[in-house]
Amino acid sequence: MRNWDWFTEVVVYPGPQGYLGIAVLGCFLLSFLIQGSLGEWLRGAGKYLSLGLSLTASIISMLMVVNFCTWDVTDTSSPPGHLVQVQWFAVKGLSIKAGILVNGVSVAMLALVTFITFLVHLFSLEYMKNDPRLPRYWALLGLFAFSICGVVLADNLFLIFVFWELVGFCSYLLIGFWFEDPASGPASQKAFIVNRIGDLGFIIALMLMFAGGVDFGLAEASLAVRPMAESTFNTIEEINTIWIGFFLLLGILGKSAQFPLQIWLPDAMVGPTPVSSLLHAATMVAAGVYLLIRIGFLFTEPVLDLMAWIGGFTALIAAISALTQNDIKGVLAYSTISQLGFMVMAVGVGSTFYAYFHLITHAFFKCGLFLAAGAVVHQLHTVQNGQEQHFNVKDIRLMGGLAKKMPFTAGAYLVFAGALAGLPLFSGFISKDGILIGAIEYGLSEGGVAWGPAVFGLIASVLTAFYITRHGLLIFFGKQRFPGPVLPEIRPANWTMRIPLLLLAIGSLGLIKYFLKPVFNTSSFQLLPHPAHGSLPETALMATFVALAVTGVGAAYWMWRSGNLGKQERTSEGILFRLSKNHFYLDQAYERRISKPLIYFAGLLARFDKHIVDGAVNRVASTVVRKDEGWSLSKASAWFDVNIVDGIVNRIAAVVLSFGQRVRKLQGGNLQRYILYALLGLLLLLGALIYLA
Amino acid sequence: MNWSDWVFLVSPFLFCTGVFLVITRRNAVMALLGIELILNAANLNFVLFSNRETGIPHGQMAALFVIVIAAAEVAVALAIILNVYKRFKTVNIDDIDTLKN
Repeated sequence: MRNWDWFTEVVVYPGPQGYLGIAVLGCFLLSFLIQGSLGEWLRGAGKYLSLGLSLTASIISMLMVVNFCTWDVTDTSSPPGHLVQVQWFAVKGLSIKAGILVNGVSVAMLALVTFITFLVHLFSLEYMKNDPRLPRYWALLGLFAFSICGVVLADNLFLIFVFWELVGFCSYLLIGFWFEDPASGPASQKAFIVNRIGDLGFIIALMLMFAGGVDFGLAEASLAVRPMAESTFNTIEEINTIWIGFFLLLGILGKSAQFPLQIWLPDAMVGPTPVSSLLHAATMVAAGVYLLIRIGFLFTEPVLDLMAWIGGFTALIAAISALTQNDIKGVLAYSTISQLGFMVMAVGVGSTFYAYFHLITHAFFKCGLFLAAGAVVHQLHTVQNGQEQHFNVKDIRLMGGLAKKMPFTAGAYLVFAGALAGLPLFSGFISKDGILIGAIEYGLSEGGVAWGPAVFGLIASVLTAFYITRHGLLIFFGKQRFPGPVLPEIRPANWTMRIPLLLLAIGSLGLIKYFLKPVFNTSSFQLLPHPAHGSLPETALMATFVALAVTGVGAAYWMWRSGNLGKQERTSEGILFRLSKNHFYLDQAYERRISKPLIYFAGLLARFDKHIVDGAVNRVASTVVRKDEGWSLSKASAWFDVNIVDGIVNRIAAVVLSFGQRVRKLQGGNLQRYILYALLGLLLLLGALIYLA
Repeated sequence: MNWSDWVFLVSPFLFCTGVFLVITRRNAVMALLGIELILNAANLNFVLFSNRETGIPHGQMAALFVIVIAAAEVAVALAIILNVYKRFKTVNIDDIDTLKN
């Protein structure tokens, strides 16, 4: 049995915090609207406007966190959640309310999202400065942040779904932002379509809830679907709660890039790097895990088991795939999938708190990793533009030795990498260990195959340490491998890029635990000690995890020293290497098993449409109308009209006309004619008289 | 039919000629002329039939009346024609159609 911790109940009271939430939403919406409409006109000032608005939003949400933390825990009347609600619409007696729900989960997430969005804005100042479509970029960032804040704050599933779709749409636009790149179109479409599959699940879940007569409100739903006997609101049948949980999970798998819907995330790297960092850290993929946590009460045992397996499996295969990638962002993309797998697994095994904690720590260090990679790519790009050299600036096999030239970035990178690898003193250590302990407990309590997620997680954490070490060593250390004199030209990143890195690096240290503690300790948001913790030798487990991480790092370092990493060409590629490099051929499998048959089927339908449906219409049309020689209804009808209908009328008219013209001559005013007619008449009379006599 | 009977054909001929003139000529004077011919055709019939059937000169008397009336008629008609000419500067009866319409 899993322990239902503080996520399972959402108790709400109306309160002023909700209005601050609306203000945060308003900031980003304003940024989007102004940039979208006046962006071209604002020119240089536009970026400062967006930056300022995102900073404002960030400050407001920090304020909300502070407000939240300063409540008296012992005061039982102190509200654990704040709500602003208006009636949205009513259908069949079910009134749908739109509102803002601020509680511990959402307030911390909101602060995280707005903070990272602000840092990404700051970073983009330099990274995107030469882009010709800057206003569009700022506008989309604003809309993206607006929609994710909506997902975070919305108080009912229906509203969440609306923002959820908006998040997907914005990521579609941002992934395809550099649409001149031929890779970006298919990548953005792939992200969009794969997410559609997940969203279908979300809609089905909403319909099932509607059928069960449940308000979409989180607070009401949490009461209605409680599988406990004590709930009098238990209106949904048990089997339906399972299905609702299953379909919601499908939606989350799409958004958070979990097996089998994870294929879109590696391709999504074609977008601008700040966007990738936002997408991977705080917005798009985080939305799924966040929702998982926010509505954790909707999931029942079988769905949670499935979740644990999917999460663990995804964490493993994505970690394996990250081992052999050569794209600087590709490694990080697979790493994101893997880390999200950890989070989903954590929810599945019942340690929801650590899933949430890992979501926050991961947001910091993954955003940092992407921004560090972005700084490297940006500086290389600058050099490349200056030198007219052409090499792939994203290929880590071509890099090396950059630590000397960009020491600040390299230092920040080491912190992020340490956090990702799960080394002590870094934030990832605390959260990942929590997840792994949760998985082991799950295995202990369920026994047998339930050890699967734990085993997957442990292997994945070794691999994580390995691939991130490989990534860092190839980029920043050793000799430079650039084709040409690139290294001396490289300049360190400027301050707009350094400040976000610095702040994120601070957030990736283990110290973050102490900042988060007050948030987690408020009345609604208690960090319950995991009951089973006592039965496990925690210190020994932690030592084991550290040993595993160090093993991964050490293996990578050893391979690097012996020159086996990042070779340009490999003489022999083993089956495992190829599986890893190609992400288990999942893309190809989908291509062959789903896309191809679908396209073939679509072709069949198109042919059916063209030949049968259109054909029938055309046949009818050509029977009716025809341009060439040939018989058609319209020609017959025209002939009938011209010759019969018009003909009769014309004939009658002609007869009347000619008769009239003849008669007209009788009365021409010509006296002599009158005389003639009179004479003829007389003769006629005489003739008649003679004939009759 | 003896030879004196042929003279009966003269009056129909005159009559037809007169009618023809009245119907076809555009000149008012010519039409008047036609009318005179018709009158004279009638006169001729009066005289011929009176002479042949009774021997009493009733027909001749009627012819005398007709001649007198015709003279009056010609006087009136010519006066009309003169006035018409004065007014319309033409005696073409087709052009004098102010009563039409």
